[in-house]
Amino acid sequence: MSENALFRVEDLVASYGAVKALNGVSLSVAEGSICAVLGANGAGKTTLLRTVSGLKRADSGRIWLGDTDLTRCAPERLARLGVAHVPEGAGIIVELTVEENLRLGGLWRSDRAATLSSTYDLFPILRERRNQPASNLSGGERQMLAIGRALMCRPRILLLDEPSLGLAPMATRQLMDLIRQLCADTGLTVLLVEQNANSALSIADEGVVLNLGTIAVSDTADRLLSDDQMRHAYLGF
Amino acid sequence: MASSQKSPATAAGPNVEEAARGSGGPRRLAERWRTLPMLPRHLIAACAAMIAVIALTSITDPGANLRLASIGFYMLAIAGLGILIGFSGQVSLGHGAFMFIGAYSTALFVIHMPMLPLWLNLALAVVISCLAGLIIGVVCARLHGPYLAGATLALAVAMPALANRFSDFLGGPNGLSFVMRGTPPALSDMVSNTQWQAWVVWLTVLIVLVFLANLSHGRLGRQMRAVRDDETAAALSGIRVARVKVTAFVVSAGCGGLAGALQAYLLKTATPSTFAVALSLSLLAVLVLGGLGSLWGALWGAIAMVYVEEWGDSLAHALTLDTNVANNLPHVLYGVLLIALVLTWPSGVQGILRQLGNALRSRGHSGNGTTSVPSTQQGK
Amino acid sequence: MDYFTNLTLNGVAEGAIYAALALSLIIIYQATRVVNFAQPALALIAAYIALTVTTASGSYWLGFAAALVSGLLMGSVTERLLIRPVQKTSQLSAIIITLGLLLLLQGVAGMIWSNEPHSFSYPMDFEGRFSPADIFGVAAVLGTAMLLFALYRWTPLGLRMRAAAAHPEMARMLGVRVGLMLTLGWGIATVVGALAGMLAAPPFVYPNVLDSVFVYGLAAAVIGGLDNPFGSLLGGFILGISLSFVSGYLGPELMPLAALIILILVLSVRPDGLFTRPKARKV
Repeated sequence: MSENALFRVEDLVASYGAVKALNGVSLSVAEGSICAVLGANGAGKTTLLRTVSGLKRADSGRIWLGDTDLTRCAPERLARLGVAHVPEGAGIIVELTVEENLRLGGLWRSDRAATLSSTYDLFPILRERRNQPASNLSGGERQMLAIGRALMCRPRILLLDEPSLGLAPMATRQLMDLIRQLCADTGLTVLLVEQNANSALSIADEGVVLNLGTIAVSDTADRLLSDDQMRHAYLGF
Repeated sequence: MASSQKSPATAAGPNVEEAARGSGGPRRLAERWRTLPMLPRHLIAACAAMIAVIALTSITDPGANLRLASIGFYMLAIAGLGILIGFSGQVSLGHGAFMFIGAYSTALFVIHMPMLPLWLNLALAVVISCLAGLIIGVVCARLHGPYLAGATLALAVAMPALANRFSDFLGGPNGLSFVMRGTPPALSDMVSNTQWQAWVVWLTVLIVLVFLANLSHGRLGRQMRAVRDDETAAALSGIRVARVKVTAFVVSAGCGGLAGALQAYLLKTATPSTFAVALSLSLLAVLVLGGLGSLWGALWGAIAMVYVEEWGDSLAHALTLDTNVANNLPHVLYGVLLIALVLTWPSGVQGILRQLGNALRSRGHSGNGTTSVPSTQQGK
Repeated sequence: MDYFTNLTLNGVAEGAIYAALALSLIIIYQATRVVNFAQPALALIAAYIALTVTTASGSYWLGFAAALVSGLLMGSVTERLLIRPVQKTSQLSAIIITLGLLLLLQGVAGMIWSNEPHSFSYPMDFEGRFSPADIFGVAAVLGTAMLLFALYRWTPLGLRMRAAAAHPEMARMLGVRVGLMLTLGWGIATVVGALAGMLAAPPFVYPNVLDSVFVYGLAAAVIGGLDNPFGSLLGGFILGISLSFVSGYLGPELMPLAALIILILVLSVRPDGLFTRPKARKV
């Protein structure tokens, strides 16, 4: 799969002081597929996303999006190169309205008006509340807003950090279905970081399990779901 | 201050086991010093500092005595502000207002009740400024950051304006001037007036500093730091946040008031222009310059307060600059110093010294493989 | 009654100046959470530059423009060189930096233009009650406020600036050049400060001329609430009119004391200013 992979991470190392949070992580995601990154707290999942989106400096290793080298790219440039990052907790700017949050996602694009209306078609609830302060939204609506905002820049890859965090099981289910639907409809590529392994694997094509900064297991989602030993060892269920 | 005994550079290894093995006299002495209870330790340090002051005044001229005494009262004011900012985290821009209150209280007592002994006069000035601190503290306890800064800045501007408004009572722009007794007659052959004044100022300052040192290491000091770091967490762990903040304000106001009173005693005048906003801002500036969170920082700040302006003046004279340039050189120097220090060394002069001391010490220890724990808050 | 009207109109004119300074403080506070104590000094330098340009060219308006442009430059440079390095350290560092800059710039102003007052002309005729100069001042401040409102509310640039201030990390991930936005915020704020300086300086300019105006400007910002630009405008006018009454009926020496009392009264009822909406603590 690595020949036609859209997004590749090669031997990535990142550290906080003396502690190596990522110690030689490599993975690749094929265009239009969903790759779930699983693992316990402190496994390095969030660090992986932060390093990919330029918020954290990589010590070594490379990150590729197609033929573009993203390593050590400033975060503000990455958005324009097609990397959209929905951080943990959605990163909604509560001081702005719903529509302002959305518009912020693609301010530099000339087709932003059209994208905005198609995003509203995708999330009708956001259109209803477009002029309300974003602080009024519920947890699930915030995730929708964050994903909608990420789509505003028409990304080639979407990085999602724990979208199910704090959501009710119903809302998690809806969100996951929505992500799957997006990929099917638009050919979006997704790197999905989750602690909720069951939900994530239920929609993912591939899955990797991080443990203490290294890839412990990498396989297709179906096989990971059915591998009891792996689940007991790393995911605890 | 007890520079002879406790300067960071000479204080020996903090490692208990090592000292217990008895490796040499000075080290054991330093260890004994460290294990002394707080109060006697601070008292000994204060006595040593007093001896140092007396020794210093015996070899200097009257001008230098006056400057030495000025360092004393400024140190007190800065230390008080340090308690408020460094320990309780409330940034006040109106510390000069409390100096104003102390100075004018002293002046009024001297003029209207000349029979009061000096110590009672100073004590009353402290009581009055503590009361003022209590009022301001109660009003300001709920305020945060810029709101507190705005309110205290207005206080700093309003106080000197009072003197202009009630000029019959407070003397207007010329302020109040008065006569005070200098050296007691019995000593007047041996001790000059300025020497005596410097002693009185430093004795008072050191007594209060011992009090402050104990306070900042004790229960109240811990509570203040807890409030500074996280008000909500402090409240949840049972600290009465508002009370701690107000107490910090009262202590700091008392120190400011006493400093003002000592200044009045020293200069025998109290004028509103002395207590303009610039004073409050300078106090804050030199506090950071010296280093927050340590009484040593207050000393370096006080020295800067007294000497930077003077150095600026003499530098301007030495360079024979144009009068416009010369008049403003001290300000510019001050500003540049502040900016440069904050950009390069935010922990202030005391931070630099501590780092130097630690570097020296760890070099001395590198042979026996012990890691030297950086001892915090040397020399309270 | 006539006296009362006079005082009110004077208060409005003065209040416009406080409002402008308050606005310049708030723009910076919202962008970088710093109270810029150097604001009066930056405005002072801008006023001196205006004086120099006006003297050289003979045109007041050329000087006025020079003041605004120099404000933009000085504000941007200050943020970039002095504030950015300490942005991530304690708030006290930034306060001390701006205090240092205040001392430095006032000293430099004295070195270049001397500590003696220079006469500084009004933009227009200043005789009589609510003179053209007063009207110009109020109109300029209100116009600037409206322009700023439009900029922040309705333009993509304004949206970027608000996002950068509210949530810098997220804004970066959305492609906003946060550093540039903060620099621009300081630049814009200092232009507004320079405007206040141009209105406050006449009839004389000297290094400390803006000190008391700055204190009242900060008081106005605090009264209105630092999270609300409209609050600061209103705060400026409220303070201006109140102080004008105090000065007219009780004597000008009482103005600072009155400002303190108003401030304390307002803050003891509303610790976050009159027009700040109560906000849940961010966790």
